[in-house]
Amino acid sequence: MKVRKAVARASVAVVAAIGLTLGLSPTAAWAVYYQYALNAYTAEATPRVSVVGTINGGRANLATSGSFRVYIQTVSGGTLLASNYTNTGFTDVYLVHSSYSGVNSRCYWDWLPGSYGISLPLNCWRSV
Amino acid sequence: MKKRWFVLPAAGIALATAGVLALVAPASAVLPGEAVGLLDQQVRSSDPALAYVEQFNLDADTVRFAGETDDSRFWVGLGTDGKVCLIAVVGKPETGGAACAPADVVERSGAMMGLTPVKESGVAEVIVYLVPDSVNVDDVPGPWERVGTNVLVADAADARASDVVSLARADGTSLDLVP
Repeated sequence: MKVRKAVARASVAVVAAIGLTLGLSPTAAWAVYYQYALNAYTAEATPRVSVVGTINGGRANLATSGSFRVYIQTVSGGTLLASNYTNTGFTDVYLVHSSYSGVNSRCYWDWLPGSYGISLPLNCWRSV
Repeated sequence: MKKRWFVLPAAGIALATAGVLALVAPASAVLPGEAVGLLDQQVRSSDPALAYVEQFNLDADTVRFAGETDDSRFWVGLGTDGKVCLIAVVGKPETGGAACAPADVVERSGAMMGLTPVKESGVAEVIVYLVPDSVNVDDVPGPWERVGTNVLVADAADARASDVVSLARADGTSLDLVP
């Protein structure tokens, strides 16, 4: 019995030591991003949509500069759950919220003054 | 004459070093702390911590609390790529957003985001602006509310229904708040 306890304690200590070595902590919030658009030339206001899954946010940017609005959203069957956008091109926009299952992440861009007419390279990630 | 042997290699090393520095140095000609002085200030022990440092790819040591309203909190910080980031966390359950831009872009036009929180959070869409120290925010007109030194926030519907607000700089230029 004593041996078992000693082994258990040692195991906990080893796991804790490995965790500390790797910089892990039980409360650490991890960002795992899956990219679903990689410099994808995308027409204005045309969403790129991720697969359905468990999602707690996302990230998007345009690989070009200019006064474009870039959106990252979480949607459920076309219904908007949460959204964030920024209006300065060549910037990153992030979104985080509680986890939802059976939802999509989507991203798109538009140009406030009107119709831009050409496609731009869009990067989008969903986070879980 | 011997000394000349060292001139070319030394020049080559200098050029190579300059080239490497040019590659690794941030593209922005403006330092983050020049645009937003809060980034150079010490963290106060009383400031609330940001829970989403990992999600927003932030350098944890640079994050500074920028202010709060009844249902929202705001921070500024540097991304791991050196960009200046505006961070907002609103409502319950929380919805968080961040927008990151190079320091020269922040100095020129600010950084903004339009955050629509999850419906059950009880908060409507908000527009949040990070403005540089160089603009005058002493008398910001409604619907904008000043939060701390560098953050302005407005209800999105109200901001879009209002005229574009221009914030003046001492050098005569201005920064437009465009929701």
